[in-house]
Amino acid sequence: MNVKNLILGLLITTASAQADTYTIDTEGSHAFVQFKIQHLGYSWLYGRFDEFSGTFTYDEEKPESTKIEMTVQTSSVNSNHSMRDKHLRSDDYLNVETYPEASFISTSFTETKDGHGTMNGNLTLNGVTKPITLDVKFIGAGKDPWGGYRRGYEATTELKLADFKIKKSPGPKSEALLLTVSVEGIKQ
Amino acid sequence: MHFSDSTKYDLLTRVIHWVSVLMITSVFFSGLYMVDLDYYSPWYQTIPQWHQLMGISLMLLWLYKLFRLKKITALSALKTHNIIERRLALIVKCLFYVLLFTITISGYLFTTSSESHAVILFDLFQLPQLFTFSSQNIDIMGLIHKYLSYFFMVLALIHALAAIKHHFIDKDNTLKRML
Repeated sequence: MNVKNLILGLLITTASAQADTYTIDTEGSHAFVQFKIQHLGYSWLYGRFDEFSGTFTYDEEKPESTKIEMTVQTSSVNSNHSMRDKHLRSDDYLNVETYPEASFISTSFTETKDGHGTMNGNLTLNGVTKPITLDVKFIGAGKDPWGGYRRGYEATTELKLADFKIKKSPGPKSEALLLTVSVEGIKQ
Repeated sequence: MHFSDSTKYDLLTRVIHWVSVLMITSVFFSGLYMVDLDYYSPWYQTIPQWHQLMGISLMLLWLYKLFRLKKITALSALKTHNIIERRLALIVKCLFYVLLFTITISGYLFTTSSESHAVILFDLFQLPQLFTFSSQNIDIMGLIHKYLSYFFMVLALIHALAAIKHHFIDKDNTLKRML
């Protein structure tokens, strides 16, 4: 690397360093990937994914440059019923053997007010990649009591199972689910 | 080792054999059918419970059958069977035991593996949980349960065809001893 490239490299690093990178706090389990889907149309069934990871960036000067990437281990699906989870992991639903990971990579963020906004991005689930839009609520940010800085959001969206080629639906009242992703990021 | 020269297996052996035929056939086909059952089918909740009850009964019956082997006197091999046939018959018999226990035990273990959810059959008896397993191990046990069941049925079919062959082609006593 010559001197010119080195300086250029440093400049780029400095420029992008203005956006802070946050690691989603899965270690302390201050983040959740939850879903709910109707059972027979009579009640809500709740489930979650226990294993996932991700990072996001946020720049107060340029909130539209916010980016997030998350990866979910699909085999960690947990609906509090071991035999149902076994069925959810099978090729009737999540097909975890072939597609062990689901991921979300943001493409754009529009901040409305008070830090809330809309996040667009590509969700890959069951091997199918589709653009989705999440409604994002800013919950809060600030110093934590242990010397770090944290920022948290909750995002929701509706997913149609058929859009992601999920073979089976548990019935006509259960063809879409509501996904809630709740994240707390620790500033790096 | 002492062998009996009786022309038939004793009554209890014959009863256990034919009860096993009925139970294995129904437990296999109930298993095959229930995994593709529609969620809205009225059978969705009952067939798996019958399958589990039958599987457990089969496991206990064969446990009894296994201990009984020590007490009973085996029939001497038919003179019409050659050495290869005798060996094959013994291997298949042993395989039936190994497969039946592997299939029923794996089924029991993954069915009862949930920490939060007890398996209760027909609102009557709860299956005690012996171990909990990771989701990965539950899936592996599921595959073992499924493919060994297919293997068992193929073997059972060969076993039945062999008995028919002995009866109609060799015209020997093989099948009659079990009737």
